Amino acid sequence: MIGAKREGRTGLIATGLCWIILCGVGVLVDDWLLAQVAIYLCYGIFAMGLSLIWGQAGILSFGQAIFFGAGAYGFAVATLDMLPGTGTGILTGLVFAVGLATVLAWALAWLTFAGRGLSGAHFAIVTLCAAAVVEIAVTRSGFLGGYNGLFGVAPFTWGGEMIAERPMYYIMLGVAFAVFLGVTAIVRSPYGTVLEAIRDDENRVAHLGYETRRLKTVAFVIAGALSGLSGALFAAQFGFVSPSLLGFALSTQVLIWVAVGGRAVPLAAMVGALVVSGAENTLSNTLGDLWLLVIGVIFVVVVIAAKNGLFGTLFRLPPPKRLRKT
Amino acid sequence: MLEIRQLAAGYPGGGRVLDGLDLSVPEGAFVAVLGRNGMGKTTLMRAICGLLRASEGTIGLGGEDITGLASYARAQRGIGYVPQGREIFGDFTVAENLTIGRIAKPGLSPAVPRHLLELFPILAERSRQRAGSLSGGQQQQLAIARALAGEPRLLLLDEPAEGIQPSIVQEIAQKLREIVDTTGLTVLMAEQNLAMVDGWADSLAFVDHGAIAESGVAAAGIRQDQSRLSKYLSI
Amino acid sequence: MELFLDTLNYFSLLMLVVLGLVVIFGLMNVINMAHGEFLLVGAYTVVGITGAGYSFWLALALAPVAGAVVGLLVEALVVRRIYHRFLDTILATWGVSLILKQGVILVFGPTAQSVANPLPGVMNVFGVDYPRMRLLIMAVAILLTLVLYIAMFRSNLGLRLRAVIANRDMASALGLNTRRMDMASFGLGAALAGFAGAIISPVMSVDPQMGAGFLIPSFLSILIGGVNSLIGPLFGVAAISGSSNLIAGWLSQADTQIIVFLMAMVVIRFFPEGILKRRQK
Repeated sequence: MIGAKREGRTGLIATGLCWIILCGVGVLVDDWLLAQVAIYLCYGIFAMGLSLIWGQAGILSFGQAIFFGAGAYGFAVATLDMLPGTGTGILTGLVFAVGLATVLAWALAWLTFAGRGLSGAHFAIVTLCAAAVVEIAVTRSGFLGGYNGLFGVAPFTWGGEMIAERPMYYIMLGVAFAVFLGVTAIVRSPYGTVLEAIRDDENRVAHLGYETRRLKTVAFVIAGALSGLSGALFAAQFGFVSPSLLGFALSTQVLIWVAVGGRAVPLAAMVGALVVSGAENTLSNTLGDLWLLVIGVIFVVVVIAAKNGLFGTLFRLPPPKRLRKT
Repeated sequence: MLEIRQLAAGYPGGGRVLDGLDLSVPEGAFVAVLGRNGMGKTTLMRAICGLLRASEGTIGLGGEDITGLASYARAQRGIGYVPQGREIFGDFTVAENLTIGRIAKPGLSPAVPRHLLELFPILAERSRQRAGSLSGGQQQQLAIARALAGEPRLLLLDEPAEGIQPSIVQEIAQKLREIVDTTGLTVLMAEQNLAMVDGWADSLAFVDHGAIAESGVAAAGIRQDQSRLSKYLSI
Repeated sequence: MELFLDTLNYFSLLMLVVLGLVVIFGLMNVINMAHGEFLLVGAYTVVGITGAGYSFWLALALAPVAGAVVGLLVEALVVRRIYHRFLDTILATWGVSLILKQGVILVFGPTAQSVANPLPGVMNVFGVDYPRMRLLIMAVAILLTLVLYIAMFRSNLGLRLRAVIANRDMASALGLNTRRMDMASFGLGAALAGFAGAIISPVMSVDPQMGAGFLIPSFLSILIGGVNSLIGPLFGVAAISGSSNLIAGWLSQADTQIIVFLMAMVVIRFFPEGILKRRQK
């Protein structure tokens, strides 16, 4: 078991280094790029949410963008004063955004996990279908700006002034770090272990007396809330929201990030989002249409051959104390 | 006909069920494997017909090493399999079930031979009926006839008496004996029901904790062999 | 009457796509997300061949071949390696769909292409003037579906296929080469999709997204009908195509999609085994 112990230590060092590097990026990189990376951090938070349900609990959702989009639209609608009585406060907007995503996630979980629950394939297709429905519905909604979306979403301000790129980056990094700590704590808790057992064999866990439906619902709702949070943060920085934020395309994109990064390790999922969207930004200019082909091939190869993704093994932390062999 | 040497096999995550199992079945013999539940009878049958890969050891059929062959290739080399729980195709007609048993064997025409239907008249009578609508005993006969339709050299049966009323058990056992005597078919049968064995099989092998504990025991009179019955079957 | 013909038109096309999906799912338990892109392969085969100056009918004959070749490649390179990892097959085949779509864009560009209608004009059926090409599509699709179903239930090849779908292990223990049948059915499914894509190319705008439009309706049809039956999808396709065309009579296409998808989701929620699932024997 010495090898495993060392592997865990490598993971710990790599995880620490990763966050230190991300802190350093805030000093070394110019403002324009920094704003980009801050947006990638939104994707990273989104990816960590997905890694919780997919990597940990084995729930393959093709509709996570519903909650990302709900957060983005929720934040936009609230801060643009389109709802009576909410005002335009940033905090109200965030609360409303996360609340909306949470409620939607709970509703979808209630629909799909109820009774005997839908099997993996059914769940994947129903969520895929739900994402399509929501995207079409928002495109058709005049209130939400239809196909064009909503413009002029308020950025974060401090004392009446817009927060500059660098502090904004550190705010985003702080949020991402907090989410990382939270998701990692869940994954390493006894609850996380039960989720892992559900992934391997749900029936067996149910026979042991666990209410798997409730356990899965909780995970799904947490992931939905995180998606909503990331969507709201995205809207605040990007300044506008459009139907593509809650459709099939983004839903599958986040699956690629998480698969390529490493589905079962939250930090790996986040780094997957950073690396893939960063690479997309730099390479899609030089490679053009070839880029999507390249990422498609990488994705397929990773799914076939590397279950832990590119970074899953690197950032794997030592197992929690209670599961360690003595 | 069948030579098994040092066979080990098991299920992923479930550990080894068979470990160091040796068994040989001569051509034309009717051998029954007895043992308690969980001792490895079904695992042995599945390993022989190739639905489960051996992790160690070899399986030989008529002098050829078949250990590395896929299940279908073993069937094409002459292994017929009657699984536990029968596993007939319930949505297909009786006739289709018999055709399926024949269709994939090289050198056989798809038409089911008459002598097989004469051996199981009830199947001939119900040939156009849905197989799922047959009674348990009839389904068992269908499962056996389906395996025989492929004209195997070695017939494997996994607890054919399970869930079948005693009079039918006698009938099935008698038919098996008849086939062995007339055609020279080799039979290996896993069983717990002594009525299916005593007076019908030639010899017995006892399986205990994944290995053969004793083989070559005469089948006749096993019901009176109190020491073996309590040792291997807890009766 | 026109409504009926439109419904039949959509029904028969969807059926061609769904048949391949059902066989692949039933046989290998693989949800093939790239199936819509096999349609694309067929349609762009027509674009390429007619663009080079050859006739549409030649292209129509070659499209299923192109579909089958792509399908067999996908089976050998991707699906075969992971078919025991159920969720991963969904992801991997979705990745394949991305690759195929992007490949088409690289070769033919992202904009819509048009294929000249080889059978212009209308024909009067049941008192309605209906485009001749659409009538041909319908006739061919229905004929093909019929032939496939008859083969499935009346031929020995169909019997083998049904046996593997019903009980893979047992079929293998009876001597059926399941690996070869996987390949064959994947190739056949892709060929059917390729053919469907080719034959509709003159009446649709051929663009890289056209496969995606068939993806959700065909999966919903299968889930509504029940995944483990060959007859079920027939009902599923009828339900989806029928309700789509009925509602489209009053509402816009987008609203129709919303309503049909929502209804299908509700049905799947309450009949996860499909509407036709027999209560356990």
